[in-house]
Amino acid sequence: MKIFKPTALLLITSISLFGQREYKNEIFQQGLNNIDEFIEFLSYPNDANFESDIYKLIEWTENKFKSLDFQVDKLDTETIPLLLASKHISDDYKTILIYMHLDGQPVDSSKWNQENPFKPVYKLKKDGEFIDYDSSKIEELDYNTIEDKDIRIFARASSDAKGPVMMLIQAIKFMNLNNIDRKLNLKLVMDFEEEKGSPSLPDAVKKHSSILKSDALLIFDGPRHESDLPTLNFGNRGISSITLKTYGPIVSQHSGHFGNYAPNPVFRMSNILSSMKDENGIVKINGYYDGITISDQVKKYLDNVPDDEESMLDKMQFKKPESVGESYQEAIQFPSLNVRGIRAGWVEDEVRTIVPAECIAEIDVRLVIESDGYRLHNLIKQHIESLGYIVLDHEPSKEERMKFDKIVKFNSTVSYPAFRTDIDSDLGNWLFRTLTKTFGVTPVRKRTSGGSVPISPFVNVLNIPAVGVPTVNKDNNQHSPNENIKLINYIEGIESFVGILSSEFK
Amino acid sequence: MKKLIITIFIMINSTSLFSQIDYKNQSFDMGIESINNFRDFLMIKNDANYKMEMEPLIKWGIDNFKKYGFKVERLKTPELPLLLASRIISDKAKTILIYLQFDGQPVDNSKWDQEDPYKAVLKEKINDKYEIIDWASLKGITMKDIIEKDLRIFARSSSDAKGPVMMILNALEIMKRNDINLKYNVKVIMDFEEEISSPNLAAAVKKYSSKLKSDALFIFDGPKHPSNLPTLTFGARGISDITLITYGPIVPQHSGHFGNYAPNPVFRMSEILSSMKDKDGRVSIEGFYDGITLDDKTQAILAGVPDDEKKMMEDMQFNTFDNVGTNYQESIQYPSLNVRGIESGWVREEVRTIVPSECIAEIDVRLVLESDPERLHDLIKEHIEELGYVVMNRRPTKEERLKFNKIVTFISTFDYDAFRTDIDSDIGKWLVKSLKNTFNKEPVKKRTSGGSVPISPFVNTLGIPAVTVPTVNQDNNQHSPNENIKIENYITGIETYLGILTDSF
Repeated sequence: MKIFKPTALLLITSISLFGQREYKNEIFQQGLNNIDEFIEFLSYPNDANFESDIYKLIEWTENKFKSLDFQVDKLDTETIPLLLASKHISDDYKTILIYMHLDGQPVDSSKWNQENPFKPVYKLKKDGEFIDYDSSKIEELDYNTIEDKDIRIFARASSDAKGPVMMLIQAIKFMNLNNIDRKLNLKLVMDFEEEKGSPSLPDAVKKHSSILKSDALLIFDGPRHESDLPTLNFGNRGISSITLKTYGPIVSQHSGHFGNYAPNPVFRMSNILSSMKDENGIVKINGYYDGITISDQVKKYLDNVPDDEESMLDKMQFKKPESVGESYQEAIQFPSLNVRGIRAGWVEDEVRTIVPAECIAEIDVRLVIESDGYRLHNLIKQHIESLGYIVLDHEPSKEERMKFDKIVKFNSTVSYPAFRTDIDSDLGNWLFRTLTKTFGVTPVRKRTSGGSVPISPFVNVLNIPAVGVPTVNKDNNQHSPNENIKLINYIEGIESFVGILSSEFK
Repeated sequence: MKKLIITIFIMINSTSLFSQIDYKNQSFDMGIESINNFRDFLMIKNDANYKMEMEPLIKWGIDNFKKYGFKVERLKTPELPLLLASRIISDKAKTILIYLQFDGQPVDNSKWDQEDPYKAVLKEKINDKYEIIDWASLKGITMKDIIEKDLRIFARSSSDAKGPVMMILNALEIMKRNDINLKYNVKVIMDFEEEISSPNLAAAVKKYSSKLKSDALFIFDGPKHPSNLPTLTFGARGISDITLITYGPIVPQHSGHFGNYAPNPVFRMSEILSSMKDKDGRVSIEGFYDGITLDDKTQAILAGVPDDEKKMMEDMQFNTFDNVGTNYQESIQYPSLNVRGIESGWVREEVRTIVPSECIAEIDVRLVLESDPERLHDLIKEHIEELGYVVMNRRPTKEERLKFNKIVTFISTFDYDAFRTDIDSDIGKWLVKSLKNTFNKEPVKKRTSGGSVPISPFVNTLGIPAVTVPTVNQDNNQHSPNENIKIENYITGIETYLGILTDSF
């Protein structure tokens, strides 16, 4: 396990060579002067389950980008359209596709510490708690104050992901006002159904592939590394799932009359599950980790991520992580095999003296680029067969139940594959240089994130590399009540995007 | 596996030697005559969760036993009283204690195929379905018709266990009419809280042990063997349970961010559970089955139970039973280790992409006479410790979570012990003889039942042997909607109890 001490952070800061931050103060002023525009944007309800709200937001967005001299197209889909805002500067420049989403998670107002999640409020962290902050004092703030004090805007989608959209708008405005040249052709693709799993995105990307054609994809979404250093995310694990079911008697039986006679589906399931992993959490199924090698170079990248694993373990309250990798970053370079839920019979107050009829286990397998989801599922299936089970994809018939001793039902789905862009690719090097130059510190480069994003349609259909440029604070309560964004992250986000848009990608 | 062959039945029938049918017709007539009283009795609500509603039922018990010369007293407990009805013929005579249960399972009217579960209906099996018929159909009916039409009374507690109460009262009525005296003292103990696990019984038996003093206990409750042959059950397994909890991160974590990093409590629990049994369902913890030997004679008794295991497995739809005994009866001579429930995270439509924070498994361990529950639980606990777990009887603190890699919470409870009376004991032999006399058939002798009854307080505190004399049909939907009793069983039940009460011990 890797423990990153504060001294390590200082070291990273001190090795920075290009400490420039030439627009730092100007961008800060621009951000604060136009903060009401962000507040207004946050006031538009954006739960994609309410279409009329979403169409109002689409109209606002359309007008906003038109006013910035972008050409805005609605890309129709089976459901809610995507917006594509394009600005061609020169044929000499590369074209960058930027993915953003404007819809937000549903809200339960009663759980928020404010009247309305779509009525943003400023708060200041004092003695570990957030107290209301007088909005009239915002204009008087200086850079050092927001760097030192934890001042935040609380509102739904403030971080996920209206914040990054407004950062980009402010970055473009700032460049226009100060005559800073943009050295990229931009195509901004805006998703209004991300929180619903972007159901129409894969088809839409196929359908509109020619208009989306670009040289690279940037994802302006997600939180920075916990250290809040500038961060680049070069990949995401994919996701797939398996549902397993084992069987006992056709209906639950009295555990007195039939305990040690009727086969118990929980013991069956336990056999299957426990045979898949060793006690250190490493998958024992032959070939499961095939194709994954962590070279010295890769290991260096992973080790450079300033994770404080001791603090992670302390927060999650366990002593020892699974031993798939030597560190957290290394662990997520491998496909996972996780039981996310199991059920049979009843527990606690509802407990009944029965031999349960069936046991169901829900598994998710996070994928990495080396591991094809279907291949892994097949390995798991063959492994279960090697334990003596008949593996079916349907509920067993009475005949099947009478014919076979051990039956398991196995249903699997591959939702979407992983993507990963080389840290050392042109795109990676360009972004690394750009962020380093912008902030004067070495950005954190995550080879992959453990979670999954539906980006693979772009990567696979358009055949372009993709990198995530996250900007918001990690502790933003994404998907939960009291979502927020730190003012410092908002301001630095604008700075990040100015840095990227003003730098030529060759 | 033991396959039942029809010839066994024929053999059993042909071995009957004693033919004493004097009471057969009287039991039949009394059965039909008493149907209206039975219906009235079934109308009295008996869900012990509603204690205020139980007084009419208690009063009914008092009045009906007083009719037959019993002295009836209330044995107070912190909740509902027990009733003790005694008829002492002589201080020198032996005394039999009979256990009856008056309360019933809760009802959910909507799930019954009749208006009101307390308002009995008569049904006939027509095209594999039970259809309501007029009570007047019973007028002038013959036993043959009753059996052929599979006539049944549907009502809550018809089988469990108001039916047996009516049977013994009818037996007493026949004795009264024929002026037949008891040949031994009878004490009847009536429980009004059985379906809520008789929470006050053990303490009451201790408190009133001198009043309850007897030579043997008969339990007039439960279903006969599925063959519906006369049955005697000489024991029941005890019951104890264990709750296990394993731990992952303190709150569920995103399975993308922390899948293969945060330990998963389901894999932990699977490791524990799967290590307890081999793949054939036999407990692999050393010593778990210690002390249990099935000698040739016992094996013969077990093999003598006419189970149709092929049909059992077909009904339950599985191919192979757990490899604990070589047949069903043998299997239940051993303690069980059963997971009755497991839960962690969410499944089906509610599934969420998380690493769950904990996994809970509920285990029950059915006990036999040879297995001390404390010893079994200790064995299980030590086994888990050997897997490298720190075992505690509560949830771990943060400090403990950070100190120990593998933690399991282990909470165990003993409900009640097993009991088993020797089939060859005096009481056993007497009952076998009595049933044989009544029915001209060798009764099915079950060495033990797999399930548990709260009888151990009597057996242990009073130090007396106990035997169950079940009478109702196995398919009576006990504890479920559409509970019923076959009229045939109602009548043969009267005959059974009449035979026992008129016999000398």
